[in-house]
Amino acid sequence: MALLKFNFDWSFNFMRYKTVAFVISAIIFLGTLTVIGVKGINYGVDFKGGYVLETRFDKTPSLQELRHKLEKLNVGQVSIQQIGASNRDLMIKMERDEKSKEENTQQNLDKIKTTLGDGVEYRKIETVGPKAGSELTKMATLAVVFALLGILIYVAIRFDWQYAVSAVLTQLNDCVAILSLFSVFGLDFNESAIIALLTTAGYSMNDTIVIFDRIRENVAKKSKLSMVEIINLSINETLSRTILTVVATLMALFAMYFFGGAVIAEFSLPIIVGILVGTFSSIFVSAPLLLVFGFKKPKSVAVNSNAPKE
Amino acid sequence: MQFSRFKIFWIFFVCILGIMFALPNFVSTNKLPSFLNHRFNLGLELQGGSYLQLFVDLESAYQEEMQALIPDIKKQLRKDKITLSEIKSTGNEITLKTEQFDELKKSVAVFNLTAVQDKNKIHLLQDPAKKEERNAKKVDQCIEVVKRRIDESGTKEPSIYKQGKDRIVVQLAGVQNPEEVKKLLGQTGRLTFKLLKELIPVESKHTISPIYDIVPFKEDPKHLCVLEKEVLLTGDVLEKVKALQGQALPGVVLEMNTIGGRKFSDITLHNINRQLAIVIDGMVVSAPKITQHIPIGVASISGSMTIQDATRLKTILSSGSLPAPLKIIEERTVGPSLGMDAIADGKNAVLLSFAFVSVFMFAAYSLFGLFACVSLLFNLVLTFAALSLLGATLTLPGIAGLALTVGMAVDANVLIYERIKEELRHGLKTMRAIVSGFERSMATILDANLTTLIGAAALFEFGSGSVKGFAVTLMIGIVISMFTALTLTYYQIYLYTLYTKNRKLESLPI
Repeated sequence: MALLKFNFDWSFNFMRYKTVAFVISAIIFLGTLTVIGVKGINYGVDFKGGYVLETRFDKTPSLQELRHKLEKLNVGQVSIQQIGASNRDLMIKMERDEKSKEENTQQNLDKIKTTLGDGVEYRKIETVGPKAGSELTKMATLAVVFALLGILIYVAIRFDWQYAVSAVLTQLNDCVAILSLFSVFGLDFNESAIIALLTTAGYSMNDTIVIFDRIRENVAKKSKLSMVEIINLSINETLSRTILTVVATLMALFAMYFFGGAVIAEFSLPIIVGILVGTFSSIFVSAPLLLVFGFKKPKSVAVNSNAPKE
Repeated sequence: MQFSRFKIFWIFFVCILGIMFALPNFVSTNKLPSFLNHRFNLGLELQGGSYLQLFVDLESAYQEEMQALIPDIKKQLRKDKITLSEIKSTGNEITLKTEQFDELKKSVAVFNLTAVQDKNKIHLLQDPAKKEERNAKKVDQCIEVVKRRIDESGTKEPSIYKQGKDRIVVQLAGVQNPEEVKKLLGQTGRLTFKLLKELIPVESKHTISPIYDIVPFKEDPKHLCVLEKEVLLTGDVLEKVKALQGQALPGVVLEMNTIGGRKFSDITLHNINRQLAIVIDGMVVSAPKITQHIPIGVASISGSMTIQDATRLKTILSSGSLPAPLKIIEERTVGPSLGMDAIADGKNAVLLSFAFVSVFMFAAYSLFGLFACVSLLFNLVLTFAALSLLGATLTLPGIAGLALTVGMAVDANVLIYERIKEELRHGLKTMRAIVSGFERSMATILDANLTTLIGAAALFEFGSGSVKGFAVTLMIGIVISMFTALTLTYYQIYLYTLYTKNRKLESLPI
């Protein structure tokens, strides 16, 4: 017998909280836009251009001294971060100065290397031009737009247009919520951030579709119930699945976060947050949105209401 | 519940094939039959190496081209008896003044230029469509030259491809110090022979008539060369370039083809006692004096260079000149130690996420949870097999994608099991509940996975590099998770019901 017992006959009235949920979503949405407007997003080197060096020092270096020396070079904004367990491993990032000319890339890199001195193993060196960065922005925008468009069309065909619009809006809401994470905590918004963003959107879409699928089924089956009752029932029926899948996915993500090294950890953190947000929004936002867009039970079903299929 | 022999055969067939194709990645033997010898590639961040992104400076090549056209245009216009008052190239176009616009239009058609009148000036431009076409061709030619240069430098298995309209990506696996490659690609390699008029000191304030070119001199940085504008020979006539090795002075020998040899013979015959300047990329590398008539097309450049310089020059000249200058805009180099760490991290991430999820599934569903774990294991095995067969590149985000599919793949199993439990609660008999659970969750699984697939496909289409790697593993993982959940898990449960047939199946270990 299974160790984890779930009480399956849940009957929460999720729809009662729809106003609260909408308000929370609206606050997150507007809040994020405000924070981004005020604080901006910390575009990483991938976007702005600059230098990333992963170095292993022979002896433990003094971070303060290093930072001071590197800042004097006037190459760009310096950020130094310890990575991994060893305090000899550093990740040095220098964002390219707007004034700094592209032609000086090689000289700048040489200057940085001289400043760091001998006894340094360069485990990774990246120099990125600002042009490559602007391309990344374009790529990300295109990917998001086409992903959402594709999903919109697919859901509209398989379900109904109200489902499609609700699902895509929920997705947008999730994406913005993750963006707020990057903005508030000043995390680097780079290529892996885009991957994290899209993964979360995909996962949350998965969640939303499962609930929608049940709503579609119940609309056809239980014609006596009102739309609000159907939505509540559908969310409750799929709740154990939602919880189990979230926990399973989080298990995988925690393994990645704690044991996958610095790069994978950096990548999995926004996904962990995103999955929690996504689960919340598919339950509390996407389904109630259906009503907002005026989804009604199709008439043909209502006519057959006296002859249930089961 | 019925499994035909045919279906069972297919399940086993796919799983065995999966193991066969996944295995070569984890054994280090070369004694595999060729059909099995597929492995996925490791991305540069995993195996160590250098990644260069080159920007093809098409605009400057174009401007130079227009500039070079001016003498020809002048000649043509003189032939067509069109009088000019002014001609110059400004950025992307040539502007000139003349009264005979209609005649001019016909005259410049030879050069594939269109004339546009603007007040009293006339602009000569290239047709945008043709320009685009020529640019695309130039980028392709650049890739060819880059390939030849890198091949000749002895770098193993470089991967060189076009990205976007004006980018070239060069990936050099295992190369830790791309300096030499960067030097090879940093030079256009345009070779010309011109006659030297005189040498003037760098500080010289004398104004030189614009009918001459002033070019720096490599052998003597304190002087500048004043050259006649006429190009006597170009690098096109080269047939073979050899490096002079084991000599007192390192250098290169240029051997010309028949046409070049004939021209060279003429040049040396008529210009005895003059200096012939050999110009490479706007720099006179050598200016030997012609002491006698040289009837064969052989010239040499030596002095002021090291053996490495000579070898590099040989590579650059023999690979042909780049039709446009290249600029390195992005460079990523990963050392082998970081790569090994990344592989270890990736392995940990995948294995541990599998372990965590397995424990959880067992806790939640007991025996049926174990069935799901077996399916999950095959999900990983088949994903590795698919990556090998496609020859895909496994990147760090790709590994992350793999670990993530582990989490998402159980979703299909969870959906099915929850549905079975629901059917049981509704009072269905165990067998009916299983069948109905699978059938009813099918549509949900299909819809949920297809939408994720659409997102991943968009990521693959518009993503670059590591994003693509992530999208590939995610897409493969999704497709395979549908197979494993709907078929493999089902089959295991079917076997279980066969095994317990004699006993009365009151409840399910779920």
